[in-house]
Amino acid sequence: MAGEQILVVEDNERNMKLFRDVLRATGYRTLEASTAGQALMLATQHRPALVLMDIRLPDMSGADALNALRMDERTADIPVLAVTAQAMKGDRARFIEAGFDGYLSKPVDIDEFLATVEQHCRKRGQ
Amino acid sequence: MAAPPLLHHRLIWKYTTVVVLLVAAAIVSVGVTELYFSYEDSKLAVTGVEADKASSAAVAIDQFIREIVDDLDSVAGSPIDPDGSVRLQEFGGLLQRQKVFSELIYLDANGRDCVHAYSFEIDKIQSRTCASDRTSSPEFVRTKAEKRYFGDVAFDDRDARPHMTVAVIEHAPGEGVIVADVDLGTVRDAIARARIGAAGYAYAVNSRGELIAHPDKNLVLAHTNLASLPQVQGALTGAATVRSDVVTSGRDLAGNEVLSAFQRVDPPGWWVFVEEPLSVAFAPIESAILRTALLLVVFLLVAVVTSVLLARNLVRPIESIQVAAAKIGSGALDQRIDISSRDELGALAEEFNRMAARLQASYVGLEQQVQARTQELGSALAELDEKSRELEAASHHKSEFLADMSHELRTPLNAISGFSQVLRKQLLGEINEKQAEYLDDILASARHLLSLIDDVLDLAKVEAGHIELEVTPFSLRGALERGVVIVRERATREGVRISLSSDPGVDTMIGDERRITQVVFNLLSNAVKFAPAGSTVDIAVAPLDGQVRISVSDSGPGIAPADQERIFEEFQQAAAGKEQREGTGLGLALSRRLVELHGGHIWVDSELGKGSTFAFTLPMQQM
Repeated sequence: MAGEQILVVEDNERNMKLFRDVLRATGYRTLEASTAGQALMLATQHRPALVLMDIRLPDMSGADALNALRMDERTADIPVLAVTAQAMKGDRARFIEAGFDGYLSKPVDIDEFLATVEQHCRKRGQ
Repeated sequence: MAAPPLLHHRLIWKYTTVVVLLVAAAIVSVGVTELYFSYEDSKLAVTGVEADKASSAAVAIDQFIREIVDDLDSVAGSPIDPDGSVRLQEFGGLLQRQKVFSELIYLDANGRDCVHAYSFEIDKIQSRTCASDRTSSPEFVRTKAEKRYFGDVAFDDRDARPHMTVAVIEHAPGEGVIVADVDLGTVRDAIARARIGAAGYAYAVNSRGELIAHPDKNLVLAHTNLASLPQVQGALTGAATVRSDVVTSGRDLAGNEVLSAFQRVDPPGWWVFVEEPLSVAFAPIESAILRTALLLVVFLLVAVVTSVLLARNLVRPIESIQVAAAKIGSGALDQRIDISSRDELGALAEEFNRMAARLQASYVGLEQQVQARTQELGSALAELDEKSRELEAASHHKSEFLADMSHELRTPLNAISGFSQVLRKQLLGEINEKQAEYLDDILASARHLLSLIDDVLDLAKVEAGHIELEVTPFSLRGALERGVVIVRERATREGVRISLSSDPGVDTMIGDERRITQVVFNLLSNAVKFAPAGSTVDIAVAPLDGQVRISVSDSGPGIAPADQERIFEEFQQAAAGKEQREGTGLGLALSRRLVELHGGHIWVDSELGKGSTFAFTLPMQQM
């Protein structure tokens, strides 16, 4: 399982650091993007195993970025998890409906975070 | 516009019919009366003339007969005349004086022809010595019996002149009979004179109905019997009762109807008839009828035309009023009636126009008012719209602000909580006991902060009216059990039992299941928090006044009466709650809002040292 490359899209530096460090500490490789544009570029270049997508990004919304990934056949099959501080009532359902493969609300529970990441990587591996 | 012509026709024909009927009745009654009287007058005139003629003819004949009888009586004396010469002389004188006698005979008492004189040989008066015997002749027998005798009318073979045998009795002593042959030319002439008009004629019959004088000589010569004609029959049979001036309608020999007047001449028992064909007699009357009928028709036509014109003149203004009324009725308020006549209809039209003008004026006023009100309403609506847009915008801003707030608070909290978890899980190396304890404190505070954020936002949403209940039917017991599941771990940890007793009669409710569960969770977590170890928290469901009462009881420290209302307000906690240093102070406030949103009510029954019972009601809206 270890060694899979995960693209983290996050505009908050500290949160980026948290996700990166946790993932690396657990054995994943990470790609980092603080904007949707970078994310699309990196995803196309590296075809990561999983994308963790923040929703509020400076250049476009995470949902639009997801659509862009899905439109490109090179990235269309990469699972994308929404990792967002948007955690009001109905948000989870909204994101799942928008096409995200999973949803994690901030603040994240590290155990749940890692379990979800592993679950999606394993699913992809099979 | 189908109605006016109909009305028009009805009215006009009604008027026309009435006028025509009136005029026709007047003309017909006058005409008929006139005709009747002129008919009667004409008839009277015609029959009067006839009766006069008949009467004068009868008088003439009567006079003639009387004269003859008188003449004969004058020679019926009984002179002492042994050889008949005296009588012969008298006969001769009479013959000379009266030309109507053509022959005079004296029959003696034994019926012998004793003296005989002829007019055509008046100077050769014969005198026989009572030669031929005529005792059985009718003139002798009948005269001896009745003193007078009138024989049948006969006609001369040569010139067809009518003549008749007349006889009178001798004035005693011998009682012979004077017999004369009388020429009836006078009678014939009298009858001929009695004719009236061009088609009228007169005739005479004897007592048996045989013609004795008629304009048609052949009928007379043929001894035609007219007794079968109704007027003759009537005269002969009803002789006694027939009045002299009676005029009857009868028939002539050809069967045509005639107007007949007759008169009796007695002696010798004759009837004089003066007749005129009915068609001729009444020809003047018929032409009068024709004239009157023609006039009647002409007058009727004039009446029809006049009444139609009159009715049209009468109906036209009514019709135009009707049409105008219909137009005004359909909204053409500027419609006016143009009737210049100075009568009641004109007055009606004027009144109508005035009314329409008033109607129009008030309508215009009304329209202006409506317009003004509509404008006011429009601007009010626009204002309302503007306000509502502003409100909507404000509300939108508020809900965006809430979402932003949630996001902005959660983002740093993610770093705090995340890094603390990384350290606490010793992913980056070992930590000492004190460090671990501090990290747990940080994580607990972060959790508290997170629930505070959630509650504050929830409450703000309720305040802003942004909580929308997802109202569906749901199982109350299911909601309660889910609430129990959430707090069970903590209850077990603290040694508190939870008992759930629900009423089987109350299960399906209508409301927002998640929010009800949230309320139940709040109450349960409070109860578990304050319940002493080993005690039991009871959840009970019971119907209450058409509602459902859900209660959560604990045997905790209880709440002072002064605090019982306060604890449902934001950030207000009872003494025990403050001691616990746990909870946001928002749970009950939020619960109260949620229960009230459902139309229910929440309260607490508590006494210090004896535990608390939190209860809320929900309207019973079973399916």
